[in-house]
Amino acid sequence: MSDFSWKSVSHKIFGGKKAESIRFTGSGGHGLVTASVILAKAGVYEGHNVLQSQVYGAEARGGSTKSETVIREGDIYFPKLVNPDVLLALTSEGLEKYRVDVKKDGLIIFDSVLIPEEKSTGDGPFVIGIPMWSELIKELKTGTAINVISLGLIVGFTEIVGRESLERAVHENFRPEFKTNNQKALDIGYKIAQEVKNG
Amino acid sequence: MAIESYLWQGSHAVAQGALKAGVNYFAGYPITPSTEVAEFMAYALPSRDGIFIQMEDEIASIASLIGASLAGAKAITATSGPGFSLMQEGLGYAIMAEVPLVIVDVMRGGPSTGLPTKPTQADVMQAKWGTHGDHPIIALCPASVKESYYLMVKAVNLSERFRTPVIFLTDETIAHMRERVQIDVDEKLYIEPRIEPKDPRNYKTFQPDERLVPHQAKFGTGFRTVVTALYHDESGFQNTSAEVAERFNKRLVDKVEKYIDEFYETEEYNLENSELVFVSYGASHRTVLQVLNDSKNPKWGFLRLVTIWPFHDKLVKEKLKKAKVIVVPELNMGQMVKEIQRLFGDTKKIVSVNRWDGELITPDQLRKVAEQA
Amino acid sequence: MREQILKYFKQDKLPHVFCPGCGNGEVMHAMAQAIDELGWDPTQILIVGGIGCSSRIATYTIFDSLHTLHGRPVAFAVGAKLANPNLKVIIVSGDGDASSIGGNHLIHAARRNMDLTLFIVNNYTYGMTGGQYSPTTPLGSFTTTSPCGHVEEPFSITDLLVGAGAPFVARTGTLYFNELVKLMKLALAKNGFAAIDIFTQCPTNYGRNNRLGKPIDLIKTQASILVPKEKYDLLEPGDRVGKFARGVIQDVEKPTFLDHYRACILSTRKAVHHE
Repeated sequence: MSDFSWKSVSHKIFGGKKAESIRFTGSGGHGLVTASVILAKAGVYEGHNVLQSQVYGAEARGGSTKSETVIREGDIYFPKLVNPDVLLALTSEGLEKYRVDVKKDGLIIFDSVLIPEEKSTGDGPFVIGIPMWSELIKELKTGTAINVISLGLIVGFTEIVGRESLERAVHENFRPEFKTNNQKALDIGYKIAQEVKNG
Repeated sequence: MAIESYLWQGSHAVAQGALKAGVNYFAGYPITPSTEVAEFMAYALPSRDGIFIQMEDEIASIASLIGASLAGAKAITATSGPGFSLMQEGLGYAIMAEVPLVIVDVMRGGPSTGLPTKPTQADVMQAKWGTHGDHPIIALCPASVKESYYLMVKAVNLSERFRTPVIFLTDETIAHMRERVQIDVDEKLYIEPRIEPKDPRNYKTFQPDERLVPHQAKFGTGFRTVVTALYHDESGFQNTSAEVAERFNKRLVDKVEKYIDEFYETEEYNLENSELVFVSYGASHRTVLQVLNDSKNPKWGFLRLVTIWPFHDKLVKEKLKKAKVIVVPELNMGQMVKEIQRLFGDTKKIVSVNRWDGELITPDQLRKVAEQA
Repeated sequence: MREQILKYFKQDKLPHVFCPGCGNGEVMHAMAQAIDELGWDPTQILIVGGIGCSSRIATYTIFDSLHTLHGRPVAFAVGAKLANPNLKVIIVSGDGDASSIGGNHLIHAARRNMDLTLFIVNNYTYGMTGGQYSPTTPLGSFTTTSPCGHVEEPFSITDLLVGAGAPFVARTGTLYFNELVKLMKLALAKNGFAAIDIFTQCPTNYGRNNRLGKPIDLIKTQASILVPKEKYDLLEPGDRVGKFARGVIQDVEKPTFLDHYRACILSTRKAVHHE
């Protein structure tokens, strides 16, 4: 966990503006490409311009994945993120590879169970480790919704889209039998984000 | 219906455009990064009384497209570099036998198996010269998801208008990314009809009309259609005489190139005031847009080639006449830039910006080159 | 009889390009006779050829004709049939065209049970390019690319097709004209993939390279190679070497590609669209 409280940096995070760009990195099977598509869809529901992309390859079947979502009012030209506002990481490999790209006033969220040790430099992006995996196991007895809790955290921290749009996009994407667990995963994400924000 | 917002993947926009244009036959073979087109068509075609078939290879895929098109279907396939290489044989046949069809080539890194999951624009010359012999080729290249939809409709239309295969040349970036698309899917678009001959008595399979295009009857309609890719006279019967070969090959090229103004498409920005013009297409055009948006330099502009082939010498020369510097960003070692060099020689400064490592040219990279040019 | 057959050909394009003594004329004749006896509407027939001597047969008929690429006639035919299932699609292809360069298309059309009729005119050589060896050239025989005698075993195209799942497979030779007509009628009428391996003579190349004498002598060799299926089945494996079964080799009923596809459409219609 970062040495700095959210409250002490909240005025300057994302340059005081709304976050527009999210990069997800994880392992094949985490479902983070799906998460980036769901977030993009939520952006469409809110009437924003949206661009989503991913790196394909053997990575899709294990190894480190990368997917990105941009949601903004204006046009989106270059289709890849050079400096994302937010990095969400579920593997050490992805975190190490992509943390340098994150904007200096950006946010890095990582799973502190899957990535046990993380050194915060104090300078640069706000870095926060959250035990997503153990929270899910505790509440839902399964970690499969780790992509959904990720979305709950991102929206909880950034409000890049409204919760209603996110929930619509999540529930439309999965079969109805997963709705209860997914909603719980989102709620856990929102709650943790709120707690961090409240300091 | 009204305009609605969708989150479409580029590949799906291509498939949606094909369906909009009336495509009812798809044959293909799985290959990254084009497979999403096939998967969409496999889902969509059966319920629309269309045919989807995954053939044994790309050679068979395009062969079956030709058979289907001649029997009256609107037929397309989708592939990528290595598969496109295998289709060159059938592409040549379709040009020679004047068969409408569309090949979607989602460009990836080559040569050979190369970079299957990464973007390049390395098939620009394969699209033009991949099949042997002198021939016309029409190739279109989209730079966004939305444009993929409309341009695919145009590709199918042009194949019918000219009775020739059309290459839809897209790339991994544009085909795999998703964008918000605001579109009225029920919007009435012009769909080129296939002209049917009327009288079987005076029918000759390859009798051209005044626009140099023959109108072959569909198989099974009682016209005794004769199709071969040997040189043939108007009846379609093989004829390899010098006179027939000379006349036939000339018409084959003329029927497209004489009518280039009818379909040639570019997009431009600030050409009147620009000393430096980016000439771009496809994914690398997105880098150009970013650079222009960020720099706000009033003396920079762009000319985007939407129609990649044929190359319109006269029009491009005219559009670029005021430019002192032309910057051509491409995800290859410099293919289209050679057309620009051919047009202008040493009379203008021409800068080729290239990347072939499977990554896009970044806005920083392109801006720096432009600033120093 | 002559008029009855000739009416199926473009008479202004005759005589054809085939050499004197070539078996292609007999195949053309037998095919026209079979179609005539079936009473089929010529406007609903599409004839597809590949590249090679026998593939040119397609271009001389009055049917809609599609002279395709080397090895690809089956794949072209698949497209035409699927786009217009009412068409009766006949493919005429040589041994090299169908089973060498086109081998992949051949086995998969058989596996899928495409409703096509395929006549493989098997003269054990590439005639149009001057007599090179093909997948059916016998071991030890001479061709321009096997000047010391062929070093490869040939395969049986009918075994290949049975293995691939073709519901109708037959073999005969130009020596047995009446049987050829009879088998062609069965193949044409078959609902599904139907193929006949037709042994034929190439006096110009294969015959001359192997000093097999006049065309008639070459045709007569079929009598010692082709054995009626019932007798062939009784032969000891060792006695089968160099011999091939003649007659209907496989004839079973099974749903075609389009039968399965149409059934699939009905179930897809019930599925929810998510586009």
